[in-house]
Amino acid sequence: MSHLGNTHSSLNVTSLRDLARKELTKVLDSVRGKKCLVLDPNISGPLSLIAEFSLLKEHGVEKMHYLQSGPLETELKSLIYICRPQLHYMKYIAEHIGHHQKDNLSSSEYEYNLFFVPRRTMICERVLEEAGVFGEITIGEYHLDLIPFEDDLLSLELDNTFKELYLDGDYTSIYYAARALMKLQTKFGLFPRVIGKGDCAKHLADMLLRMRKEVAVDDPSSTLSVSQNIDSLIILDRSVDLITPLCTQLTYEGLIDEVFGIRTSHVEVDSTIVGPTSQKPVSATTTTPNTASTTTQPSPPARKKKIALNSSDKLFVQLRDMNFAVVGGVLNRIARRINEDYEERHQAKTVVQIREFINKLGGLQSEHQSLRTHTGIAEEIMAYTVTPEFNKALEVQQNLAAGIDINLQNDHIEEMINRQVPILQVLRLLCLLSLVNGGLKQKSFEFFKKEILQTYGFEHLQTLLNLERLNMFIKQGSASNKFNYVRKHLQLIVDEVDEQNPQDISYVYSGYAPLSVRLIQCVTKGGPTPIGYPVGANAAANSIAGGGARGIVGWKGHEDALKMLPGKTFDEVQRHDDGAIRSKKLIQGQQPRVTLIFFLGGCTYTEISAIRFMAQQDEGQREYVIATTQIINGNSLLNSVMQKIDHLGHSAGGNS
Amino acid sequence: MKIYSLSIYSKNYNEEIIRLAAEYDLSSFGFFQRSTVQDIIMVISKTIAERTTPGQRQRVEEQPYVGYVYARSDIPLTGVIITDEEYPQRVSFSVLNKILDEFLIKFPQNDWDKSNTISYPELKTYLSKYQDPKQADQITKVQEQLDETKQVMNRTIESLLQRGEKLDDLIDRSQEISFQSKAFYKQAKKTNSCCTIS
Repeated sequence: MSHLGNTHSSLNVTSLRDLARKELTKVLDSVRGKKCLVLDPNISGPLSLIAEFSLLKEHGVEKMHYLQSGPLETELKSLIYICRPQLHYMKYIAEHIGHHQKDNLSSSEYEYNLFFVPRRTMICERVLEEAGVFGEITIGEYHLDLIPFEDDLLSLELDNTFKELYLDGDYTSIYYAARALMKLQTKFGLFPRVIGKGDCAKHLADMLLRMRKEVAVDDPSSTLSVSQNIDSLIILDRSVDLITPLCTQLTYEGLIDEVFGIRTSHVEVDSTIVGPTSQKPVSATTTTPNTASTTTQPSPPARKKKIALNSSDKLFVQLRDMNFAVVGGVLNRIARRINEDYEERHQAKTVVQIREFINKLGGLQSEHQSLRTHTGIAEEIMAYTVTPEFNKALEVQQNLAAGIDINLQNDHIEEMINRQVPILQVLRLLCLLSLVNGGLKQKSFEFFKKEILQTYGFEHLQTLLNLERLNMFIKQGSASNKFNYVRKHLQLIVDEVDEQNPQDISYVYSGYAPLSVRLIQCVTKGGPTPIGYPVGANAAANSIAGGGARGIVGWKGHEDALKMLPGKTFDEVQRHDDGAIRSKKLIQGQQPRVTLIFFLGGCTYTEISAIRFMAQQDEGQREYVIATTQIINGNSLLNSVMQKIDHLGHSAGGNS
Repeated sequence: MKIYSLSIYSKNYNEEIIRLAAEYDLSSFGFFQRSTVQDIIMVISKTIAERTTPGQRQRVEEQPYVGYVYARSDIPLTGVIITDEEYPQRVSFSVLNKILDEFLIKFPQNDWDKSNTISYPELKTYLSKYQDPKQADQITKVQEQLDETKQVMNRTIESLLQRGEKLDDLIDRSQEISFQSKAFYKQAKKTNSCCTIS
């Protein structure tokens, strides 16, 4: 948590975390005495980023539990529940209360406090009413929304946003996002310009503009001034670019996510990977004690270790955004350098020199440990990337993205199904096929549908129907293939990719530039800018001669391409009451502009890496801060829309 | 390493050199040689003392003896120490400093004329004591402690670095990774592909 605030970014992201901490302590202090904290499993991750256990202890928390079904055994009488407003959590709480009432004749012994994150909902309160426990509970809200992961990365940590928005038609996450962005505006000033693409993105923009007016009505004395550093908010709807998450991420952090799965900046790996068991274990940075742990059993064959993946690990900062192909070389270089530094001890002759060396030793040792961890992780990933399955899937993806040999790719996918490759991998490729070609031919569509149901089971029928509704797996309509135009116009495929010294964002997929990030490049620079390619004429017209700070270009020149992509396009200007659009400081270019990018529906680690690459290119002129509903990858995206059948035969929604 | 003699001289009003005190340790020489050696040493010491100007420290080699002399600048008092070649120089000079200072405290300048009544038994004590240079020298003592500490520290550092996985191992493993990983499959150049589906 101390890794925030280390870079000299213009936006003070640490203040967001401090605000969340203060609110949490207020929540805790509202209940007197010793308390027991019950958390929903999805919130414990973000909470551990905000506050460490010692802070909770300071405010009276004696024990912590996960919110799950079954009776809650605890001696403490003051209970604080902190959870998202989801129905099944309400059922568990009602169960707990019912259990206590049965056990104790004096049920008034227990004190129940429930804090919804981020806001209470009527439907949850109704459920509690119907269970007859509403009167027992004191209800409040804990307004936790955007959680800073890094100085340039904020996340709402909402699960399944894409599915809720586009499958269920549930726009709650838009509301949460709008409130979170409104909070940012209160802190950092109005966004002068709100640009974006996508239907839900437009909803979010409208809501945001409406909220600003509401705030003005509620409290006329508070007028929001235009932001001193943020020059625009770009909202991107996941539905605009589904291709990017379906491709296998090829950056180091991206592959860790694909292979191991990263939750709230932490990854769980076998402890053998990160060090011999004789070693004193590196202290896990998670602060939530797993009283109902699912990972460690009494006699574990392989113990798991939770590793924090953030900028507090200097080595990780170097590796995370690199294409994985070069990671081995970097690790090797660093190992040799550390070795040389260790060898310096032979040069230390005087006491002063020895003391200097010992002072350095601490740092070297932690670098050494970090090196050990990442060498282990890289080896695991290596084992995965050399398999023929991985390479085959990659080949299919790259050919599909480039629009080459489509029919051949059909055959490859069929072969994979025959070999019973995991269904998520197959679905990723099929959706990719459908998206880049505007759908499958009638015969292919029916064929693949049949193959999937027969090979993987009939329960996947609902999944396929879901994907159809989402336009991710459809039959070819009469319309021509729109993606071809987009691919050409935005230069999504780049042939020469230098992984060591990337010249363009396409290095994150070894040849495919993420569509979403290309769109951002259009807005901020006027067009895709792989070095060596001519920048569009519009960009030249818009740039200020002499290298002054460039303003937001907007969608000019790309209207045709945008028409090919799903969803509305918008570009709004927020004026301050005195008509000022932009703060003087920004116009004069006195400090770098900050562009806030909001991914509605989730973003991938590769998109984050690509945006960081852009930030490097724009160093001194523009900074980027990324906010998202959550961080996703192809597997988690498809998992959320998959129909799950539990062993009782009742189908459950895709709550993964 | 040995000290053979310690002697203190002064110049009288006639600019002649007088020996105020002298002690000898000739135990390392054969019995019959001792008187000869003593004579030689006496001559050497006297000569050195005569030829040293006030305020000067000197080292004179006269095989197999080495003489260190310190002539004080404020008072006409000179100390000479004859040692073998091994005896450390710095220790010799600090011994000279010490005996001259203490001589001065014990016998102020006025008393020197009575040259035969000066009895300075401490000189003999010092001569035997400082056969072991470490006794004379605080600095040597500290230096030894330092060397010992350094050794302990070095050993600690070594053992610290031994714990856990060796760096060499990591170097090898990461090299393996970099050899094995090739650039991810890149689709065939567009120029080679014959047709794209429009």
